[in-house]
Amino acid sequence: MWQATWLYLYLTWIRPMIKWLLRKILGTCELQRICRGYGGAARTKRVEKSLKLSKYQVLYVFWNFQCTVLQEITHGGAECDVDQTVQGIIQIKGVSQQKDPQFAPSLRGCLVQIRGYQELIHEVEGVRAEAYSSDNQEHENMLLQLWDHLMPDTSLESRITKQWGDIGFQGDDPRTDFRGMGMLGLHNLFFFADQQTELARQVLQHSHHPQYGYSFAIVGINITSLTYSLLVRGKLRTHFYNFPSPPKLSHFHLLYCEYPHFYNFPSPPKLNHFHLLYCHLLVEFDKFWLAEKPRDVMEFTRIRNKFEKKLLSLLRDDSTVLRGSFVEKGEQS
Amino acid sequence: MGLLALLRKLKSNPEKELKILLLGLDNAGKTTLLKHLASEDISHITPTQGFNIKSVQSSGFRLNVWDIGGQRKIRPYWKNYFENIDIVIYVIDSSDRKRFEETGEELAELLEEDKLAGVPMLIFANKQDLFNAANASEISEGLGLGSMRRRWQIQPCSAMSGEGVQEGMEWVMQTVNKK
Repeated sequence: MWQATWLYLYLTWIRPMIKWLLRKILGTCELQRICRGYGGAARTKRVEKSLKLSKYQVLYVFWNFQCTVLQEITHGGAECDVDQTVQGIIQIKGVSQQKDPQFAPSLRGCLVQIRGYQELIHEVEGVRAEAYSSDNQEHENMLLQLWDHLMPDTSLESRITKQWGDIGFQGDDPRTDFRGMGMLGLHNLFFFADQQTELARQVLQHSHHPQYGYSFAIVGINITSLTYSLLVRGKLRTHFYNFPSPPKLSHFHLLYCEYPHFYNFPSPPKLNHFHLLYCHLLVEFDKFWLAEKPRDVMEFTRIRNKFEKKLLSLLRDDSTVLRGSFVEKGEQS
Repeated sequence: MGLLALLRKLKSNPEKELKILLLGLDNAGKTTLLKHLASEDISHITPTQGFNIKSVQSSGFRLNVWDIGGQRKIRPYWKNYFENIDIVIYVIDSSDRKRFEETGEELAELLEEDKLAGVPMLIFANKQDLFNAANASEISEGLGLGSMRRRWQIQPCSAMSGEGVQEGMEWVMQTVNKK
């Protein structure tokens, strides 16, 4: 009750008063102060919050809505007009572009990222919602190619076979293992095996460890579920808002260095970036699992939850980009 | 009886705890059932590596439900969870006729277990929402459930829609109350 009253007072009276005072004293609006004072995810997250809490939030809502409609009509083919929105905000806030020339491009970058994240959720959800079907030749081919990438020296005896267990599916037919993650589970695994073949085989090999072994594909699908849930809950904003302009280039994981075009700012995250992050999380989970020295595979849920906790604490730090050796980084903090 | 003990007795929740084990082949629907019992979202389920556990309140009982993965590789670990079990719920995918034999074999092995001797068993004939699902009597005959020497019940259900789940759990409550 007290909390609700306080929140109401804060949002309707106190916050606007502080903002008004700061504006009078400093001569800049909140968005300008954010753009000047912060960079990366810290900036974009604050801009997002400011826009959502703004009395002009209509502007934000309308912009977001307009983009969604446009995307649906054109099936994602049209770029939403970010510049128009930036101009709108500049007018409403009365920002002088001569005095603050950096404001418009900074704000634009933020809007591109905010919108990009929403679109990524939409795109990923579309893939997840598609169930695996044995009647779909594309699905079947992808599954068979997954096998070929992971097990180049062994051919499948038949489509329905116990061999699927070798790459960590549960039964004779992987079809039943995708479940709630649908095609997203297969796309993720396939991307890993196709783009990072050596790394994927290495992880698969770890999963065959006599004591610390686990089911590669099943754990892979569980990591899909983890990555998906972090995305949908908005937890990956930290990562994706920082992604195009990482704080320290030199520390970047090899994985990312193979995709130099990612650095072109501002570029919204795409499905491939999600897949890439997935590969990274699966590799990290594998390391984490081995480091935990589990008694047996029945410890999976406990270790998975511990892994998630670690990720969440890293993502609370606005400077985090999920990249190689983050487990070590987490240990230090 | 000391005053403290008396107070403690008055204060303590009379709620009884039950340990329930959910077993069955992979893809039978154990986790969906568990999530359904806990009134959680069932649309994002993934295969169970290891096990899940949830506590659910139900008519004066606290049900501690253990959902153990059904994958062949994990089945050897089932026996680690057999201590102090009040009820075993065995879940069958009624639409997967090709695996009836396999599920029958696993069930037969469970029935041989000393630690589970006499523990009442509820069999959920799950996935009744699918058009090719076998009905309860078909499964009951096929698996020879009639020869089981313990209290048992087969209940057709759909963990997806929730149909039949309540009826099964009511049997569980009645059986435990009779104990």
